[in-house]
Order: sequence, then C-alpha cells, then structure tokens
Amino acid sequence: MAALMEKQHGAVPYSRLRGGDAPFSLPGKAYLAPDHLLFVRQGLLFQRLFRFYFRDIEAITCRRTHTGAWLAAVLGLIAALALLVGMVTLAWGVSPFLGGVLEILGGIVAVATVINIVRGPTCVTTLHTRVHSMEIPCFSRWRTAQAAIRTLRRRVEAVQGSLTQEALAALIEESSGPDTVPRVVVGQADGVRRLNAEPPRPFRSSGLTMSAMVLMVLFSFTCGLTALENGVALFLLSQIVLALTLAVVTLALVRQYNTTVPAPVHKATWTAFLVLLIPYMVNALIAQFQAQFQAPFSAEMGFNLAANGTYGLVPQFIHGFVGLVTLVTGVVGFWVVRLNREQPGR
Amino acid sequence: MAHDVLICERCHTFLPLSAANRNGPVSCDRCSAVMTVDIFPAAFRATENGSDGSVLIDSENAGCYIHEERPAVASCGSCGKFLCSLCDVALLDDHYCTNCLEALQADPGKGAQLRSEYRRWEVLAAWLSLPALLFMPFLFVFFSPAALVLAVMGWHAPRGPVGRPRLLAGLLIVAHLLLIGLMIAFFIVGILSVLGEL
Ligand SMILES: [Zn+2]
Ligand SMILES: [Zn+2]
Ligand SMILES: [Zn+2]
Repeated sequence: MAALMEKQHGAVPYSRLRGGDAPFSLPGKAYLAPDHLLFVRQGLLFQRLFRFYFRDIEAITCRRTHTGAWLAAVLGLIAALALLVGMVTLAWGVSPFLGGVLEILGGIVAVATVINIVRGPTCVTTLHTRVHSMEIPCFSRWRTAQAAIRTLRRRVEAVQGSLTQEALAALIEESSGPDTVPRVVVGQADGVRRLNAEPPRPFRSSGLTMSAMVLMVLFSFTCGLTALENGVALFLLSQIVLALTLAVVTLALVRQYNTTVPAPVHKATWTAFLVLLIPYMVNALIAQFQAQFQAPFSAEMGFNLAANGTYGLVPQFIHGFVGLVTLVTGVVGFWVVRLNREQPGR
Repeated sequence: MAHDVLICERCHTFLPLSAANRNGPVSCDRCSAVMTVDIFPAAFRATENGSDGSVLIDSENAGCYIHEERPAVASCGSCGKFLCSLCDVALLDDHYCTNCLEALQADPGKGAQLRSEYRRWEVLAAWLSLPALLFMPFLFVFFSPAALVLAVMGWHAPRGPVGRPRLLAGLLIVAHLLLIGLMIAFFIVGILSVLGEL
C-alpha cells in the first residue's frame, strides 16, 4: 500500500545514509528510500540521481585504501612547514605580515590534518548490479562506510534473502556450468573503477606524463637557482616553467581520464599536480600582497618579490624547499611512469 | 557475477570463496589489501530473455493496439491498452505504453521517480557568488546580477526529491539584492559628491 501511495504522489520518504566523503571527489550524497538507495551527485549545475533498487543489488564490495594516510602525511608536512617558516619569520622580525599569514594558513591545514586523521582510513565502496558497477564516493571512510554497508545489507537481505557461504558455494558451482555465457562486466576485469558505463580507452600518453615529470625536475632547478641567487629574471623564468609544467601536468591528467592508466601512474600525476598547485598559489598570493603593499601599479607588479631585498630571506627559503619537493616528486614520478607504462606490442 | 566480484580490486588475483559474506573484513593473500565482499541472491537470478518479434496471433489471444498481428503480453497500467512485447515498457513494477510513458515522464509527481537529472541553477549561482564576493568592487558588477538571475531560475526550476534548493536560492537572492543595492547606493553617493565638488 505504501509503495502504491508513493507511486501515485511521487513523494518518496528519503533518509540520509552517511558513509564518509571521499577526499578530492565530486560531492555526492546517499539516501535510503523504502525500496532503493538513492545516490545524488552534484556538479556545477547538474544534479544526477542514481537509484539502486534493493532487489537489483547483486553485490557490495568495499576496499580499504591508503589515500587517507597519504593525505594526512602530506597535509601534516605542509602544516608543519608553514607553521615553522611562519614562526621563524615572526621571530626574526622579517615580516610580521607574511609570518601572520603563514601561521594562519598553517593552522588551517593543521586542523584539516587532525580532522582527516580522526575520520579514519579511507576506502572505495562499489555497488554492483546486473547492468553496471558504480563506485559510491560518499562511502569513503572505512568505519562509516562499513556501518552504511551493514544498513544496506539488512535492507537488501530483507528483500532478497541472505546467502550463507555454503549456499553461495553451491550457487557458484551451479552457475559455472559449461553452458553459462560469461558476462562482460565493463571496467571490472581490468580493475578500473569508473562512474559511467563507457569502457575505458587504452592509456597511450605515458610520454606526455613523463614529459610533465621532466618539466617538474626543470622547475625544481629554476627554483634552486632562485633560492641561490635573487633576481627578477630568474624568478620570471621559474614562474614561466611553473606555468608550463602545470599546463602539461593538467593535460596529462585530462588525457588519463577514463583510460586504462595504471593506478600508480595516475596517483603520481595527481601528486605532481598538487605539489605544483601549492607553490603556484603561494607565489600568486605573495606576489599579490607585495604588489599591493609595496609597489602598487609599478612596472614590475607581482614580480618584485625576488627583486626586493626586504623579504629576501623567506622567499629564498621557500624556493629552496619547493625546489626540493618538486625534484623528489618529479624524479619518483618519472620512474613510476617508466616502470608502469604499457610495453609496446603488448 | 560472483566471479567478477571475488577478485582483489588492487592486485587482480582471485579471492577464495570464504572471502565473501563473512560479516567482516578479509585481507588479500597476495597484496594484503583489506576488504569486505557481500554477494546477494540477485547475482544468481537468471536474466529474463526478451521474446522474439515474429510470433503471429491466433484467434484465441488479444492483439497489440499498434501491431494487430502480434499477441498482447501486457496491458498499459495507465490507459489499459493491450501491448505486445515490442510496445511494452516495464517500469516501477508496472507496464506502460509509450504514450503513457511520455506523459508519466512529464508528470511532476509520478515522473519524479523516473527523472535522473535536475538543473540546479542556484548551485551555479553560488559558485558565481564566489568571484563576486572575492573581487568585490570590480567583477561583482558582472557576477552579482548574473548570480541573481540564476538564483531566481533555481527558485522556479523543478526540484529533485532531496535537498533544499529553495533555501540556497532564497539566501542567494537576498544576498545579491543587498549587494546590488549597496553598489547602487555607493554609485549615487559618488555621483552626488562629484556634483557637489563642481
Ligand atoms: Zn590483492
Ligand atoms: Zn497507456
Ligand atoms: Zn505492439
């Protein structure tokens, strides 16, 4: 009767089912209805709804990942560095303003690190139906996702009945008879998890990704030079190389989208992107403030950071550190891509 | 189905049967990835076979309302017309003819269960508000009216089954009306002061 009423009026009672949000993923939310799980993905404009009816869910898999641990390590490092540099800046009286900004930014990142640690390990949860398998990015923290899966399992078993391991063994034995046609599950056999049903294209841009890594090493050299020798020309050069590298890394990420790219390559490229994004933003921020507070509307607006002696020490230190991190990321990333790229003729 | 799921997603090796439905996590023997695998009876349900299109009607059976020569397999849950296997659309535990399906999709009440995409203009408006607020005096002149128009569109657009789009749209409308009002006030004050100097 209730189901009939819903169908008549379209008002399905939904209750939110939380499973922990994924870091770096599109925002999404899951809701429980009497007969289905609704997953809502919100983009810039479009809200897309995915309904998984309990009678159609064939399997739920959930795998613990190390993303959270890596995130905590990277965020912790950034927070510690920002706080340290900020403290040195304040203690030496180089610039109370820059020191204050760094302390506040470091504090925010430190809070984010703590929140990330408290939320526990990350995971990847996938719902499998006859027509497709879909990762549910809002079930991405192991503890909460497991609780959500328990709720979901109760609901599915209420509709379908439960399977003991013995019953499962018998059914698998039965279904793997000679006349069973193997079902093609797109994106399952090769382990590529995707949200859409389009099969992944072969990954063919390992050269582009490797170029990005080489550019990163190049950028680290310009950073190192800027750290050793202050000068507008060097700073400009490092900025140009940074912009170019960021563009190539972004292009590599775009090319990797929905391809059979090996997971380590994909992760290395994302790491490179984030490692580059931070100095890019910090530079833009510092240049902006310097331009505003020191030489408004001067010819070298935005670039007097290195030319001006006042803040010489801290930006040099920053450049040195950025250069070091970029060098390590670039070299490691280069080898990751080299070792994981598809062999020609395979 | 079960075979596709009983594979370690990380190292792609097959998992033993004992990895599934154990009410707790299991770790992969090869790569020690920790995971849970739950398989339900639906995985072993036989796929329904579609019927072929060449069956001819005999005098005993009713015919499809479009294809008179084909036997009816269902009747439309909305208008009651007889449907052959080609015309029948099974949906939400019911059967529909194509005409009624289109009407159903357009229906704001019942059709909501079929709809899988909504435009949320107010979300776009919220993103546009960001540059409007960050670069107050300059870009705001362009972004604030645009965000206001989008928020009004969001207020009137059909709403999805979850969330409170009107709350966000309402807040944005009020905020941008205030901002535009402030801007106009500053503009008038500026003109008046210039006129006063003259
Ligand atoms: Zn494994
Ligand atoms: Zn009908
Ligand atoms: Zn027909």
